[in-house]
Amino acid sequence: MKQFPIKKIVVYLLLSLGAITMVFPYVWMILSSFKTPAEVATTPPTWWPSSFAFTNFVYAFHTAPFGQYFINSLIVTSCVVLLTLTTTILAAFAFSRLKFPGRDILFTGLLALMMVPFEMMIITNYATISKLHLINTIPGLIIPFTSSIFYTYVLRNFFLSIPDSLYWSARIDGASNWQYLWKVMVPIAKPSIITITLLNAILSWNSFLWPLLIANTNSARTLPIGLYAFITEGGVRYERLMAAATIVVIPMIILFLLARKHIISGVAKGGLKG
Amino acid sequence: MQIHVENLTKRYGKTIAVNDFSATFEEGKLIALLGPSGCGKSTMLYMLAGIAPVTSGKILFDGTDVTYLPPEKRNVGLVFQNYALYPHMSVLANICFPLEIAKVTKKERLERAGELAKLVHIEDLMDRKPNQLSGGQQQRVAIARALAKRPSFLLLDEPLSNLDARLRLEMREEIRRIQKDTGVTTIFVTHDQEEAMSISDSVILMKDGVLQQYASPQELYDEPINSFAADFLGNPPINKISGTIDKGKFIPEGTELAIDVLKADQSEGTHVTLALRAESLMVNHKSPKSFPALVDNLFVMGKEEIVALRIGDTLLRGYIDASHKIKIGDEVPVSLRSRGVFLFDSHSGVRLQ
Repeated sequence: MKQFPIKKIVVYLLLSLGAITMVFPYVWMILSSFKTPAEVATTPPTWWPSSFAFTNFVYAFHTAPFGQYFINSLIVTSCVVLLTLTTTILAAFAFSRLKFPGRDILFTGLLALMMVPFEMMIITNYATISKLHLINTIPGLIIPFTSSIFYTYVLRNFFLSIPDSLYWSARIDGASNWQYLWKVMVPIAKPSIITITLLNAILSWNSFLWPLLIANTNSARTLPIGLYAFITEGGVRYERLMAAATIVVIPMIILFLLARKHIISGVAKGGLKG
Repeated sequence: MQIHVENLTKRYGKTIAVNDFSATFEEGKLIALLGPSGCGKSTMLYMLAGIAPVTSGKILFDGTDVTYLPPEKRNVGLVFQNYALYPHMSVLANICFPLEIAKVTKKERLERAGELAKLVHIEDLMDRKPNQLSGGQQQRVAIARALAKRPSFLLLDEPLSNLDARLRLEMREEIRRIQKDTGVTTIFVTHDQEEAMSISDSVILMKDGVLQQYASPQELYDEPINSFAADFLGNPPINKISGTIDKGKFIPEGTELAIDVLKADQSEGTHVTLALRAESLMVNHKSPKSFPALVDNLFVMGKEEIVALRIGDTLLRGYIDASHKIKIGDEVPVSLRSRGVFLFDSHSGVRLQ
């Protein structure tokens, strides 16, 4: 007789519990987005909507210019991701491979800056952006987020783990530093880079505080700010808020599913918790 | 291409890795840089490749000064000890990489890669990734990649040390074959005297960053320039007896013996070391110049046996035919052949005879 795999059952039970906890809010959000206002407010709450109505989505789109917000979010997130990636890769290369005086002191200094919370920098950033006359503009949402010490640190450590002999081989094969970086280092670091890209995209897509301060016109607002429009003085229209939130979340879920294979191997290889 | 180095010196802070090294590497030869670990042989290789900056001295390729030329402009091929294949590229892409950088057309790249694959016998591995290859296969790919852009010379850093014993023998012969087939001047670094002796045209023996002797393998074995060279080569290791010179004879330390080995006058009373190759001892062989030794142990080897002999406090190893009749504890006469018998100054290690 095969022994009853109690250990396995316990493990799966715990994993399922974790998964349910994680997924529950999303399911609730999606189901609520189909409910009527009365149904959302009933006690005890119902699980399954009595009828699936798409009216909330239609309302959601009419309450705020979601199309505009969506495009803004898309522009801001892609620019932030691309620019951060560029600065991160170049900085990580410089801090891991190039030799220049004061390199390690400079890097330690940068790491020390990570201790300063983002909220502390809001005022100075706001002052800078306002002096540049970038309030209420898309660049104002992008420029403060085009570099990241943390991602540079993660990537630098990965670059450092690539043996020197590979670099010298490439140099002897005729490659310049620039060619070595893009033809050898970056492809090898692909899992780390994909992980960084995804984390950064999610962070940027969901960012709320900064756009709330900077974007006061529809032309510059992003999706998370759009959600704010459902919280009115007359109370919160939960069913519509949920419908809008569903719209906001979908692109990130698609992105995650597309890169799922890579992000998991990236987390495993990069020793990075996402 | 002929490489000439003049007074080459490399310092790392206060330590001197290579000290005042001068030598000429002849075209088309396979040359071994031999020495114990830390003797500066890899540093020497890296300086030739342009990876390690030179502290002082000159490197000339066919008379052109390349001392300060960056590695990508020297047209050398280098195979690292760990092979350093690009892990994300297939074997084909690895071999083509130097050509791609040199902007060679795709057609030519593939042609050249095909030729090289044939040369190093990896035709059926072209689509694999480096992590799907064995050590010996990776080695072959690394050599193919290093040869891709037709380098003026090929440098191999400890090419065999990462392979298991059987593969090491196979690759040793392969390196020799590939070098012969391509005729490319090749310099390889090794700490294994057998490796250096068996495949190279000449051997450069190094110690503490200083060139000791530059000679053909046979000459190095037959005519070591100092006691280090005599010590480093040969298996079993050369026998050494310390003693003094008295009345034209060699007196082993702590014995009453007087061995008649001197070919020329040596100053009386000098502390010297007599070095004897195992095959230079004729055990149980009486002659006017023979001296007695005690049989300490016998090791069966098959055709021959190795016999350990005791003279004073010193143990000597010699060969004896398996048909001998001697036993442990016997006293036997020992004669010396003229070949493989050296005399060194005990302090300086300089060869006296």
